[in-house]
Amino acid sequence: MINITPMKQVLYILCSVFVLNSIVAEEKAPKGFEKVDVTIKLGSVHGDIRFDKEALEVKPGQKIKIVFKNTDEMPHNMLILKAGSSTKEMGEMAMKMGEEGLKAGYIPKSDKILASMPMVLPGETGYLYFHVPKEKQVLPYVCTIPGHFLKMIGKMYVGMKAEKKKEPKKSPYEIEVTDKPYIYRTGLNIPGIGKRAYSIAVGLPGGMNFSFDADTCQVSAVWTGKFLDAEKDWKGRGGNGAKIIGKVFYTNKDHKTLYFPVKGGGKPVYRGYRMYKGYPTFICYVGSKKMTISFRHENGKLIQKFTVWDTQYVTYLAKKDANVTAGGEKLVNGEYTKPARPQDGMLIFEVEIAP
Amino acid sequence: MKNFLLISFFLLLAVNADEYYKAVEIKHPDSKVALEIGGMCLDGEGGLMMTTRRGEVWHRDKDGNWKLYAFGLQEPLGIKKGAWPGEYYVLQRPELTRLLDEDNDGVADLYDCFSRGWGFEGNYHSYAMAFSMDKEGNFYGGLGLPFSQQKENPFSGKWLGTRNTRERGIFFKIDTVGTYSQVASGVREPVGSAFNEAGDLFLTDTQGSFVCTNWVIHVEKGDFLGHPDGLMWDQSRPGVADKLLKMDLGERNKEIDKIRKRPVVYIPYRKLGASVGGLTFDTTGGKFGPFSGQMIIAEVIDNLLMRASIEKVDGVYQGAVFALSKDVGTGGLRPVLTEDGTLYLGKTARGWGHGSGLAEIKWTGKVPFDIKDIHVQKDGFKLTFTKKVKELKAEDVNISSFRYQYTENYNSPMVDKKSYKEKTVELASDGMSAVLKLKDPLSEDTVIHFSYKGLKSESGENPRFHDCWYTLNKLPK
Repeated sequence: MINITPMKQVLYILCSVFVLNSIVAEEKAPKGFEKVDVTIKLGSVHGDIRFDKEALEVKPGQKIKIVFKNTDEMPHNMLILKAGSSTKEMGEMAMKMGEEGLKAGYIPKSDKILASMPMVLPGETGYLYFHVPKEKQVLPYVCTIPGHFLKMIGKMYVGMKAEKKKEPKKSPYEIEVTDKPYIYRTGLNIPGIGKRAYSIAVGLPGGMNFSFDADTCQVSAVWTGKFLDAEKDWKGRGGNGAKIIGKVFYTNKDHKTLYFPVKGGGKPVYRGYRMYKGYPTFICYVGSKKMTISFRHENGKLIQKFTVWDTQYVTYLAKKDANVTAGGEKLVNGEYTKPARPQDGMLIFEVEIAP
Repeated sequence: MKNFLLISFFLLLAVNADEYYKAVEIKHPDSKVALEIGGMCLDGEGGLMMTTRRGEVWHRDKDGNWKLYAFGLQEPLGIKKGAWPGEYYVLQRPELTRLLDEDNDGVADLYDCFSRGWGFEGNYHSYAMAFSMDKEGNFYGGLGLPFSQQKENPFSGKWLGTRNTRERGIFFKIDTVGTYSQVASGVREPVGSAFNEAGDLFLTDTQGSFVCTNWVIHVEKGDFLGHPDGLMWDQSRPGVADKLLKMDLGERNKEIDKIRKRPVVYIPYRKLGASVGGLTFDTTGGKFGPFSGQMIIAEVIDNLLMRASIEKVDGVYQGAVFALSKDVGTGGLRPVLTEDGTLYLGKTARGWGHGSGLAEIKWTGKVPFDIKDIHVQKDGFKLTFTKKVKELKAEDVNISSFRYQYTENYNSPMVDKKSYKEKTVELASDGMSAVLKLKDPLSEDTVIHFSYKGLKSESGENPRFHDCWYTLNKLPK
């Protein structure tokens, strides 16, 4: 997690360094913006990595002031990009900045950025002054704090009416995740895979969800955003399996990810889960070897923590198309073998699955 | 007009209100909770544990406080209390789960996969139900058949049956260490099971293909309970399914009819309910009214609670099924009776009818006039009454019989209908029982319908329900 205290220092540094053109992060208006044409109020959605307004309408050539109130528990920033730029690309650039990113408020060096608001800490307010271009166009905006770019995006319509986003009618059977994980066993319908009868779907706070397959003892799907629509389980006779309503970025039908030093690589057998502070830790056995798998959501990534007892090593074999990191290294089409502690055969390792 | 309707409505309620069994609805304090009760048991401390179809497990303590004990389960339809404090066993679709509250905060921490010996493909009709526990702590349950309209129904059952999912149609046992084994085959969609005081196990199964009407059946090791799909997995009958499948349909159904076990009671479809719920036994010694020792059977679709008086003839259970109350609400699935004579009825009819929630049913202390139980004799029946009868004429009790045709179709026709007009009646000197001797001989493997509108108690009361059905499997020798 991002530590809050040094952030404040960073913010001050940013304030003093980043006085470029129209960019500033304090209430005192920069030169030329003493008088603005319009003030736009913007905010974050508490508990969801999202701007509260995902479309803004401005007039060409206007001088605008954006007041961003961060009501969320995470820091956010805001970058206005050139028309046609990819928010995803910008978000990925920010993620690659590593420690440098922290210093720079995760604002990459890019000519595609028209304006940026430095990091706004939880509960604080940020300001951005911007001279709107004179031509009609659509300018994407994004928060580039690692992982946020998946959902925290919007479009600024210059001299144009915003596209009316058709809000899909909310299902009365939607399962919403609050500040605690929600666990729901169901015959989950996974896009591209179909129904998985032994799915244990878990929605983690912050919009990261996954399905643990109690048949294979591995993750069968990971998705961001909303959790599940249980209509097919809860309406009428039901029992036909919940539907994923978020954005799926990882699926696994039959690729075996874990190999154990036993004949045939060992098939894990599901033995249940234990709840701790609302989070499940899954318990599996491979022969007499015990394995537990815990999950957490960190910066837009799903992190699995494996603990195995009474083994020599365990190999994790990443799925080809997946963005997986293990032992600190990205597994491109590769595998990761972790040896156990010699004294008792115990080992712990983490695997990150990212979009 | 509006007032008139309203008054009529209340009058209707007043008329329907049962003066013998009073049902009160117990509401969940949170109106957002869908209290669709799929499983229910006592907590041993005067409270209840309930599983809901949305996967929650709710505890209601003796003072009426509700607490969410567990959540996220896959349509759990049965729950039993374990031996450890805070331990419950829940039957959910894919497995039997042991829930354990490890830190004594009233919330389950461990969701232990205790046993899963069966296949589950995610079909809505593949329920795991009819959950019960014997005195030694072994568990029992039934595996419903999946819905399927494909050619994979080898026995041509309408909509049901598959060869692709392991153990469907099997009634199982899971011992105290979690070992799964088969008890019997041939269940269709078993709903409830319960032990009587003698330690015999009874099961309700629902009407549909091969199950000609809702019934209660006695389950013993090695039984074939009627629906042939389970034969495909029956380890005690290797090769039988394949042998049957080589026969043509008519011949095959006759053969299956021959080898199937007969129910203890047939519950005639639409004459007494439409979709049977779970069952329990009245072991309260009279605290729940005059039918002590009898079976209490829930009904899902109709507003009805039933009872059955059963007896053993030539080693075979059989008996008569009656209405007990028609004022308990719809959706009755899980009847749970406390020692002090309170019947809790867990309800859900979602998908088949209306009604959900929790009802508390108590006997008011007034004895309803009715036939209490029926015992078959070689040439007739002995009836006992709940109240003294002063006069009894032969025409006060009409007796007829029929058989269910055994087919792969829904709504099995009643065939071989017969009326027993000529009979003699002998009322006992205390007026509490009577022997009816029939001129025509009775046949085994039939259902006997008693219709007794004309029956009167000493004080002139008519029975409030006046039809019952006795399943005649065996005649006394």
